[in-house]
Amino acid sequence: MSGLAPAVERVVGELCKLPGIGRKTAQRLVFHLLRAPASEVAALAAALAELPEKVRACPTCFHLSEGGLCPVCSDPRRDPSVVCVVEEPANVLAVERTGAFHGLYHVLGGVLSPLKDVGPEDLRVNELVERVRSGKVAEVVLALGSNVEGEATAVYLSRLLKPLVPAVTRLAQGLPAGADLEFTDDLTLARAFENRRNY
Amino acid sequence: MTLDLLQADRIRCLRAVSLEPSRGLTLLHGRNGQGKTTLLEAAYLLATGRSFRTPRIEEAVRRGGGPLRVAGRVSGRAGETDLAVVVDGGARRLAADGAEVGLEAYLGRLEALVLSAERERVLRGGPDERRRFLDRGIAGLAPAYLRTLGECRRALEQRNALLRSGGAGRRAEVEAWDERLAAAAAAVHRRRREYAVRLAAALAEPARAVFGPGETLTVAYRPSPAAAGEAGPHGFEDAYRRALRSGASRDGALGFTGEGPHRDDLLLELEGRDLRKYGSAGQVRAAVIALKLGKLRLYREERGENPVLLMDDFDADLDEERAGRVAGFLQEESVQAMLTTSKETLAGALGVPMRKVRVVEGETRAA
Repeated sequence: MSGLAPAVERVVGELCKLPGIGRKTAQRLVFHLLRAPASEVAALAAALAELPEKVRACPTCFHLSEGGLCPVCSDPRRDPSVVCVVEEPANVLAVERTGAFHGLYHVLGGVLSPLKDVGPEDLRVNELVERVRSGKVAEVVLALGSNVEGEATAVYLSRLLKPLVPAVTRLAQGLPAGADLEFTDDLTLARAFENRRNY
Repeated sequence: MTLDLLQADRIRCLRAVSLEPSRGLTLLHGRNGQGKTTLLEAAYLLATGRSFRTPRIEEAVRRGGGPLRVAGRVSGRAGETDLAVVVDGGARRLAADGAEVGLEAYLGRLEALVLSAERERVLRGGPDERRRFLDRGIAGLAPAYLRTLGECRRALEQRNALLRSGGAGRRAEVEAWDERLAAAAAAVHRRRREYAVRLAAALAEPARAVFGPGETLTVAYRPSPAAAGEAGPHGFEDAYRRALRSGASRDGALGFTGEGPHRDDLLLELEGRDLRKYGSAGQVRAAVIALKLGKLRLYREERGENPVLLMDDFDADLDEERAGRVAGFLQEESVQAMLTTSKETLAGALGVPMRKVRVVEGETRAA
């Protein structure tokens, strides 16, 4: 037995279910909350309670939104002719941080993986096809992971989309910024060679 | 590089053994079950942090209690290093020059090649043994190859999972995995082909030394699918993709992928005859030794120094003449080797200077 009061044990148990949090971390968080003012704890509880009620998937791109379009889709300055396909909402944040992309997104909700029984019907592939077909999309950028599943998904989507849209592109693979050739593994270096470009 | 001092304690039957191997050949002799192979195991453990006899290192801890400890001094191009490996229960600690380090930082100070009965399966066993031989050799020279291999395996597993779940009819999906598999397979194919060619070249001289002048040992990479292999390293990807497409319905019925790098093999022939099918025990043993010496040469080409060679049951299936030729070759190449035998008289028969060490009931005695 843990020797914790049942109310404490309940919170620890719930926190343990979160990714990256083990029992010790969960206990530390709970002890912190026990010392914090009641108002702070109530604010956290209220914020958590709102989460499933208020947060929805954007009806256009399936990024997170609070009812209606997400902040990216509702921004009139964004270029709707370029759509960047990513795996998860977290990837939208990563691309947004770069400030290098001004189009819209499409969140697939995963990648193809027969081992995990994930096929195209489990992803937002039909929605993407509809979007490309009905809208004025000039380019689809496939920004999926460079692992086996991400690349197979990219191949699948590119074949599906090529007849429907003028340009289907993918992110370049090559040297990480600031990298030294000597310390770059040969797989990355080989891909950087394959993707070399003119000055 | 050379191993100048080897200490082993509480590893299987060994008790506080301290041995200064010769920089040339050291012959460990003694009756069965005295601890000769365990001394080689200790040297290998010192080099790799692993045993070549068991994947569960705790099995090597002396019955009745550990901790197991092996230690040694290595000198090579990088200077002198003290190494130690301690196994206590399930925990393994590695130390270099007195400082505890992780496995990745530890490796590379002492390189050991081992030739034991287990490793001889490379010739008599199934093709998977020979693929592992190739892959281990490649990864030894270019560690990033393991990632390439992992990608290929993963793409294959995914494609097979799709086929097993009855997805063969979903053409677009199968073709997406074909594409990915073909790209990953081409990278594996290129590496294996290149390594096999280098090995074939490195093997010629050791093979002549082991077999004598009359018999020629050849090694050839047999890629799958065969037709794609003929397309050459650059045509492989396209040819394999075509083979996957034309084999799709067969693969769908089988529920797995019938062709690809997971079906590669390495063919060893003596005078044009397949050793695996027609080789005598002595020929197979000689061929395995030649392969190992070829690997040793590749290693030296790449790193500029010899690894330490550990040969268990050195004279098994070798007549005295052939054993003498192997020992002579090792001496000519300035290889440091530790050899075990149950025949005390072997040293005299080999005609090569060597340090003789007698192993009796877990202890060593200079002889």
